[in-house]
This record gives sequence, C-alpha cells and structure tokens, in this order.
Amino acid sequence: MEIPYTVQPRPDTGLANPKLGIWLFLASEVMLFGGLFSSYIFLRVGADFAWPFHDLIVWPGLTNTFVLIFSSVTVVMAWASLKMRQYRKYQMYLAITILCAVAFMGLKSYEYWGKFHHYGITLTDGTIMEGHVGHSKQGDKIVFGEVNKITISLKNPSSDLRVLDYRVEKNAKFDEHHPVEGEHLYHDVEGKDPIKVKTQDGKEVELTKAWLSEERAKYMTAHKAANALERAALDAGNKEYQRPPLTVPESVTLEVVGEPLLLKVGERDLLSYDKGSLVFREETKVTGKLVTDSIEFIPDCIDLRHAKNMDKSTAWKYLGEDMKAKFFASREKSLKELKEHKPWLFNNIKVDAADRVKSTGDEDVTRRADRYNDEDDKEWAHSLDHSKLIEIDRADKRFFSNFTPRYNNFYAIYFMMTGLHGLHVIGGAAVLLWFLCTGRKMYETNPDQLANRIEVGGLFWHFVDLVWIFLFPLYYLM
Amino acid sequence: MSDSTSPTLPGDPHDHDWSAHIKTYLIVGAILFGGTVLTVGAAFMDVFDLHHRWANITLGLSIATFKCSLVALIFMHLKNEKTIIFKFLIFTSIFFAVMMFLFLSAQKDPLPADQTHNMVFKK
Amino acid sequence: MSAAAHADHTHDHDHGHDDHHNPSFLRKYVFSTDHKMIGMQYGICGLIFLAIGFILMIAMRWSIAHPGEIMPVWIRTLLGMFGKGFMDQWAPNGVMDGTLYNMFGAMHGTIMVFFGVVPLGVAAFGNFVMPLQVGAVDMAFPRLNMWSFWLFLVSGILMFGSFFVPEGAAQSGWTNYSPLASTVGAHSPNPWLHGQTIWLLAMVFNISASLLGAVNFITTVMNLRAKGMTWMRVPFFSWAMMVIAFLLLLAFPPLEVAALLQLSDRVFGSSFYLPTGLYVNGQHLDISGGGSPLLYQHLFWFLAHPEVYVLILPGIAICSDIIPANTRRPLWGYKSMVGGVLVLGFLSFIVWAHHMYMTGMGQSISTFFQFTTVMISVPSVILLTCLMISLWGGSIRFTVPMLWATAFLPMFGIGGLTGLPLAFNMIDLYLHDTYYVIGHFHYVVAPGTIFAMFGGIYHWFPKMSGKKLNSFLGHLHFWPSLICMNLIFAPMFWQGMAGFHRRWYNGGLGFPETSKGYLHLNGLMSSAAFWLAAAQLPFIINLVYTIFFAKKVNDDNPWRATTLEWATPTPPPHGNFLIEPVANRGPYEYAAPGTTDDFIPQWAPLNDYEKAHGAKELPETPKAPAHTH
Repeated sequence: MEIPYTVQPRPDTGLANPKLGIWLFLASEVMLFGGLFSSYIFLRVGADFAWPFHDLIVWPGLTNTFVLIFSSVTVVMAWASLKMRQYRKYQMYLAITILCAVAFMGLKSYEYWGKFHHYGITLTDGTIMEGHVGHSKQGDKIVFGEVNKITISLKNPSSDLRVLDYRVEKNAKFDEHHPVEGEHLYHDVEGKDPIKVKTQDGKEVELTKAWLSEERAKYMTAHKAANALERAALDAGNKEYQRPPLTVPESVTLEVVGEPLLLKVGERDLLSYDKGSLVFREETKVTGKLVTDSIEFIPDCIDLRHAKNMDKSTAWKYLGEDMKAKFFASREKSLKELKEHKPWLFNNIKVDAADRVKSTGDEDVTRRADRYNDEDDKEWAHSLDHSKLIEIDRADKRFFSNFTPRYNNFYAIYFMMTGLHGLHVIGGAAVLLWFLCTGRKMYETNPDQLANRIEVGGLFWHFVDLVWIFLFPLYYLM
Repeated sequence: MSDSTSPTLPGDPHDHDWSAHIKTYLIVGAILFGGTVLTVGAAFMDVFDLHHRWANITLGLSIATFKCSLVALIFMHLKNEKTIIFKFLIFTSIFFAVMMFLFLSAQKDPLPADQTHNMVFKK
Repeated sequence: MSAAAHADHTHDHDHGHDDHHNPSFLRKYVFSTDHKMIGMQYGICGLIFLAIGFILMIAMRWSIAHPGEIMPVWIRTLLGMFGKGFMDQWAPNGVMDGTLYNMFGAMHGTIMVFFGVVPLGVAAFGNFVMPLQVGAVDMAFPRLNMWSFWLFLVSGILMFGSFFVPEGAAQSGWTNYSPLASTVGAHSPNPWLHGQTIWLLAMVFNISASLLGAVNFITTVMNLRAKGMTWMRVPFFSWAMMVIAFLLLLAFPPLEVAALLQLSDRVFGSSFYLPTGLYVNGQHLDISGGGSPLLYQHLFWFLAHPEVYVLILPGIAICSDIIPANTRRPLWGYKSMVGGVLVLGFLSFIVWAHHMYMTGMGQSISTFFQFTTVMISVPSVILLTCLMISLWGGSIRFTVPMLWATAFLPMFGIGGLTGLPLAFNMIDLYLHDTYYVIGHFHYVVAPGTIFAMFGGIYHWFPKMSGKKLNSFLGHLHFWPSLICMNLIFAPMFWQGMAGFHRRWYNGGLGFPETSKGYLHLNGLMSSAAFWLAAAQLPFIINLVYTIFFAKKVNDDNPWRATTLEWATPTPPPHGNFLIEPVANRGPYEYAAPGTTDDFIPQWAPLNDYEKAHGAKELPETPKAPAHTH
C-alpha cells in the first residue's frame, strides 16, 4: 500500500499532501492567534484601568524581531540550497535558524525573569507603586509566631501537614550592613525536625503524615459505616431516619508541646487571618500571635492615575513630603512641556478643579504627568538601596502582585500570547532540528521529499515569524 | 552543486536559475529589517498632529501588515501558490475578521446608559 | 487477511502482497495507523462515553423525579463504575444532592458532546467510511491519524479521571461560564487538582486531537479521491465530512483560546473573564479585575455554534447514504444538498451570539445575529427536505438501518423547528435556559443524530465485520427507543414554556408557583428514560451475539449500494481495495436506465447505454511501481 501524492503534487489540486496539510494547519493557527488578538483588542477597548503602553522595554523585543526575521531568511535559504542540491549550505542555514530560535527564547526568558521579579502594589486609594520586594526581614510574607495550637480537618481530604513547611527560626545574625541582599531575619528551617503535640485526650504524639492518615482512616471508617446504616434505613423505606452523630470528631485540635512555632506564610496560602489565628487553604487553623503584617518594598515608580486624590495619596505616608514635592514639580514640568510642544493632546481633556487630568482623558498626557518613575527621577530608581526600602502596611494594600498574569490584563494577555508563541518557536525549532539530524539518509534517497519537508517546516516557521511581526508592535510599541 | 554525491531526478527544478530567487529573499529580508525600524519610529513620533494614539497604532499595524504580506507572499511562496490555498485563507480571514469585528461591536453597543437607568430605576 | 475470496472481485493478481508484513498485535489493534482500525477505536470509545453520559443522565433524572429519595439499587449499581470511594464522598447516604447533580449535569453535557457524539459520528464513521467512499488507500497522514486518536484518548481519560480528584469534577454546566467556572474552587489548596481545571486541560487535548483529525480529513477528500471521482461524484457523506472538518479546523481554535484563558484565570490568577470588584461567597476576590465574562461567552460560542452542526451533520450524512440504498432511488437534489451544506458551514460561523441574547449585548448586534440565525434555517431545511423528498415514490425497504433513518427525519424536524422561535430575541428572553431549550437541542441530537448513528452502525456493520446485525433484535431496539425518546423530550416543551429552569436538581419542587400543574410530567419523563436504558439492552446483546456467534455473510455489498466502500472485500484489508477504485458515474445511480439490475455502482464499468449517452471511459492508469515494495 502506498499513499499517493506524498511528494509529487496531485494534478487537479496542484498540491502534494504535506503542503495541503500544513496550509490547513496554518489556517487553524490563524484562528487560534486570531482568537487571541480578538481577545487582546476586546480587553484593551473594555479595560477599566489605564492600559499600559511603552511599559515594556523595547530593545529586547526589537532584537527578537530582528532575530526572527533573520531566521526566516535563513530557513528559506536552507530550502533553496536543498533544491540546488547543496547539502552543506543547507545544513549551515538550518543550523543558524535553530540557533536563532535558541537566542530568541534566551532573550524571552530574560524578559520574563525581569517581570517575575518586578512587583506592583495597589493601595486602597488607587495609587499604584511599582518596584521590588525587599528582603531584609520578612519580604512580602506574613510572620506569625507563638503558634501553640493546630486544628486539622479530617473531613477535608486535602487537609495536610503543609503548615509544617512554613516553619522558620529566628536568625539572630541579622546583617545590618547588607540588609537588602543579606540574610533574612526569618530563616527557613532546613530539615524537618519532629514536632511533638498533645491531642485532646492528653496523649503526646509526634506530628507525622502517618499519624494523620491513621486518624483520617478512623474518621473515614466511622463515616462509611454511618453511610451504610443510613442507606439501609432509606432502602427499607424509613424516611424519618436520623443519622446519629459520628463517634469520631471531624477535626483534631493539637497543642504544641515545647517551644511554640514561628511561621512565615505567603498571603495567598491563607484563606483568612487575623491578629490571633491563621486559616490555611487546606482548612488547617493555627492560633498564636501575628508578628509582622507589612510588605518590604523598594519602589521605583509611582502611578497616581487612579488615585482618588493625588494630594492625599496614601503613598506620601510612606514616601515622605520630599518625594511628594518632587512628584508635583515633575508633573507640572511635564504638563507644561506637553502643552507647549503637543497642544493638540489637550483638545479633548477635561481638567477638574485641582488641575487634575482625568484618567479618561488622553493616555499620553496622563501617563506622562501622573506617573512618576525613573525617567523623571534618575536618582530614585534602579538602585536597590536600603534607604529606599519602605514597609507598607497590609491594611493599606488593595492588591499586590509581581508582573505575572495576575498583575493586570495587559500582562495576562502578554504572557498568554508570547508564551504560546514561544511554545510554537520551541516546537518549530524541534521539528527543524529533527530534520537536520535525520535528513542525510533521505537526502540520498529522495532529496525532493526532504526539500518538501523543509518547505513544510519552513512554512510553519514563517508563520511563527509572522505572528511575532504583529505581537511586537502590539505589546512593545502601542 | 557542491555535493557531488547529490542524486538528481529528471524534471527537477535543479537546473533552474536559483540566484534570482535568492536575491529576492535577501531583498525581502532587508525590507523586513527596514520595516521593523520604521514601526519603532512610528510608535514614538506624532502622526499628522492627531491627538490620539490610534493614529500611531494604525500606522504601526499597517507597516506590520505590509511586512506580514511580504513574508506570506515571498517566503511562504504564496504568490505562486494554487488558488485552492487562497480559498482556504480567504475564508479563514473572513472568519477571523468576523470574529474580531463582532466581538467588538457586541461590546461597543450596550443599551444607552440613561435609557437603561430609566428603565430599571425610575419606574 | 480476510474473506476476500468473493466472486464479485475481478482481480486476477494475487493479493497476498498485503499480507507480507504481518504487523504485530500492538501495531494492528492498538497503535494502528490503519484508518479502519482507528475508526473502530474511536467508535468503541465513543460508545463507551455515550454509555457513561447516559448513566449520568439516568441518575439526574432520578433526582428530578424523586428529589431527596435514595437512588434505587440498580442506579447505584450503574454508578458503581465510579467506585465506592466516590459514592461515599458525594452521595454518602445514596441520595443525590445539588452538588452531585451539578457535577453530573456538567459532565453529561461535556461527555455526550465532545466524547460521545463527535467521536462516534465524525471520527468513527468519518475515519472508517470516508476514505473508502472516496476510494483512498488510507488517510493522507496515517500516523497523524493515530496521534489524533491517542490525544483524544488522553483527553477522555483526563475528563473521566476528573471525577476522582478531591473536589470532584466540573460543576458549572457544560458551557463552563465564567466567572463561576473561573472562581469555583479558587480557594482550594491546589488549583491544578480541581475538576474544573482538569476539564480545561482535557479540552485542550481534545481540541488538538480534533485539529489533527480535521487536517487529515480535508487532505484525504481533496487529494486522495480515486480516479474519476470528480467533486460532483463525491458522495454527500464525504462532502459533509469535509465540511465538518472545516468547522472543526476553524472553529475549535477559539475554544482552545477560551480554555487557555480560563486556565490562566484559574491557576495563574489572571482576570481575563473576571470583572473589577468581584465578590465570591461574600469575599472580595484577590484579583486585579478588569476582564469581561462576555469574552468567554464569545470565544466559547464561536466554537460551540459550529459544533452544533458538527453534531447534526453526521446524522444527515449517514441518512443520505442509508435512504437512497433503501428506497432504491437516487438522492433527491444531490447538488442542492452539497450547496446547502457548504452554505450551512459558512453561516454557522456567524450565528453564535444567539446564545447570548441574555447578556444584554445591545439591540443592533442582537438583530444582526437574529437575522443570520433565521437565515441558517434555510440550508438546514434544504438538507432535511431533500432527504424527505428522496423517500417519495421509492420502493422503500424497511431494513433496520432504514428504520432509524426514517425516524431521524421527523425527529430532527421537530428539533429544528422548535429552534426557530429561539432565534428571535424577544422569545428567547423568555425561553432562555428553560426546559424548552433542552427539549429543542435534545430532539436534534438524541433522537436525531444518535438515531442516525445507530442506523449507521446497522448499515456499515456488515462491512466492518462481515456479519449482519440481527434484525429482530434491531426492531426490539428501535421501537421502544423511538417511543421512550419522545416521552422524555416532548413534555420538556410544555415544562419549558411553563418556565421550568434547566438546572433544577429537584425538578421544580422549590418553585411551586412555576411548576404547578407540570410537576407530574417529571415522573413520566424519568420513567421513560429508565425504559430507554432497558431498550438499549437488545443492542448490546445484538453486538455481542453478532460479533461472537453469528455466521459470516458471503457478500461484499449486502445492501446493493452504489458507493465505493462496498467495492472492497469484507472486512477491507490494509490498503482497502483489490481492484483499482474508480468512479465512473455519480454516487447514487439507483433505478438507472441501461441495466437489468436496479442499481449501478460507481465502480462498475460503463455500460452501453451510458456510452451511447456520451460517457467517456477514464484513461488507463500507468502501472505504478507501488506494488513492488
């Protein structure tokens, strides 16, 4: 059995199977990225926040554009060399294409890395501060001490001993001179030394997974027995049947024997917390005392576009009057310059009583005026200096995140599209690498089939390039 | 023809003049590089003194579209391709355009706010 | 390889060359690249998933008719497929509660649509029949075909496995609307291990499988058609399969986007579908907000409306083969049917927002979608009418496949016509999310597509296995099914117009004013559903009996049909044809002049009458060197 038209085109359609197949696949890819582009526009047009623009650094994106265009040229040259039966040249061009893919992904990872380590904090009045998390003491974690009681649910199967993973010990050797990149004040406990606890009936046990699963098994046995009884009663037509209470409790409360524990927890690992207790996502509850409830932050940008009142922004509480004066001076300067050089920008803008540019006005103006960052203040930003470190009370915070999909929908769709595009780059490069490594034999027996394969792989590669040609301006320039 | 071992098949595009093609590819590559620089420029300049960013966006996307068609037509050989592929692609782009346009119009076409307010709150 | 020693093959060379390379058991039955085996694998999986979805429905119908009562032992036994641990967690006392109902509801829809009907109707019949019908040796990309099946299987296992994670399977309806679907279980310790997330992962695999399949289908129809098989000689079935493949190819990617964005919302904390200031359970969610639930609905329905046609077209396609073969009369209006299916395919892309009238998306855009929706009923009616007129004046043989096919016509008619009022904005505002809608689309899919698929199984089973399914058991399967189906779905229209909401787990007990006077119908419908389950037993017995005990039928073309799949030996060997497949004429030459028989198959040489009327012999194919491998 041989499938026709795998290499030579079919006369009436004019196409060989692989080429027909890849174009169909590309059509579906157009719809895939089409859906994403549509979502991008939908989200941008409907955004109820200032859509970031010119926020991404241009040079990595620009370099990546050049890299991809260059690789597009080399992959088509690889195909042409194969058609001319120049195997060495073909190998060289294809290898360059794959190296370009590696370079592209390298630069991409560098960009991603930067975003993972950059944070933004929205205060309750709408002010946004961007910057880095300091690491002199607790970082962005909640520190909770004097933990003497742990309540673990037996009913919830996902309730576990994860609480033990958050244990820390106080590090006395706090380095005053290198507070930012130095040691944490609260040190993670290496290795899991056992914890002794006392159960409600006064027994002293070691808190281990085995012990917990034993307790859970007891609960489940009782639960299942009660189920069976109830089903039997219902089956017998006894509608009044009352399920008796279980003889085993649904949760165990344990008292810590010996030194109370100190925990350092990310806020998102908790369902809720207050001054005396923490409830973890797996419904485990501990009681003790809240030690620190603030975020160490080194701001490099302040964004007042959504602040209710610029003058009374909560940010000034942390940054000081000095910074406030600098901000307003810079703001005035920016507005003046803009009015002089680009008066048309102000055509449609409403200015309210406090000379406040409304955020519904032109994006250019508000961004220049109400956002204050390293462009305005060379000294302020880009130096992770202890003197810039502030501690923001969690009560003043509305939302806190690094620049990941969580931060806002711009970054969400940015990561989604560039991430999917990156997967396509990796996939395309892997296929080309496969052809490069295994092509010799096919070249000797059927060079046209190899050329077809490179053409098909190349078509996919060009498509990847094509998507990037749109992604680059959409995210980096507009 | 550097590899002497390379097999030949009759009727191959083997003896065809490839240097012209290669020249085209290189020129297109250069245009794409230039277009990229232009896109960056267009993003930061003031287009026709219009007061809105949409002018920059339109210009930038037009250049991108131009670059994109070059890649498709020359690198992806679409300009020599069979009509059947064009048919697929035309339908695909229609659906894509429909998707984008209708998503947007569904969003941009809410009931007028005051009217809704009257209906709901001022019975 | 097969019982190929049948008299009506005119091959003179030894066909043993097909048997040289005896593939291992694994390559032949498990990791097979043969389109027929893959089709059967899809078919078996599809039937299993249909059964699973059916069992979920049985349990739900119990809860609707007997809310708060313990499920009877037989239903509990059926649910035993989930194991004891599952039941102890979700229905500890054997009574179905709202949570379990929601879980079953969401999974019933998902499994039936994406894992039952599409794999059986499109992937199984398409894979088995379509290449044979166009005279191809296999699919254009056999290995891709295998990948497609295995990706599908992974997605199916993931989807079924999602029942067993601690927080259970998806519970937000098969449509998985955000914000509910994005936020349910948002506080669970591990968002990856939540049924709602696994649903999305499974869908990503399922979509990838469909895309590979679609590329393969289209390439096969376009490029592997046999000699003489011009476009207007391609049987309607294969035309429909190609249109379906286009729908899958171009409509599925936006669903993939929808799933990926929702996945990101769930596990990475983004807010694509979550508006600012969203409160869940009295708590302000820790999200940035700024997204839109509408976006999800757009992306979802951009797929899911074409998907509706992916569900129904296999039914129409199968009937278009069964009906001419059993009326002994050409398919009426073949050309208009082909035109109709192409227009239908195109229009199905621009009607999606008629599912979204309730979102308040605005009057003019609603009007637009109302217009296109009404328009799409035109090609649908063309297809149905052509099939109906094909019956006219035929000498109908009521074989078992024909019974299903004839039942399909009115059932699909009811389903389609009850959909028309829903196209109108004003009516939909009232009927939206009621049992009327449920009745409407179940009439299309259950007694519609599924009936046609049963017909298809009875029709092509002789080709797959060489054995004919028992006719008496077939009747025993058909008649009770027909009656029960109508008893289940017809009362839904009344209930729906009374205002019964589609997601009531207790059948309306909580809304006495609305449900007054219609509550008793619940009992009738549920009993009919249970009897429907019983009516499937003859089918299962029939399959098992025929496969293991029935005698082979010595006939490659038992229905006296004209299309090329009947030109192969039975079952078709690897490589399908022993003669060179050619299409000398159109696909439905029944009762044609110039022959003593009442049909001329596509592959039969031209007869004198045809030659006299200007038909030309196809040119000789030069002997390909392919046979010497």
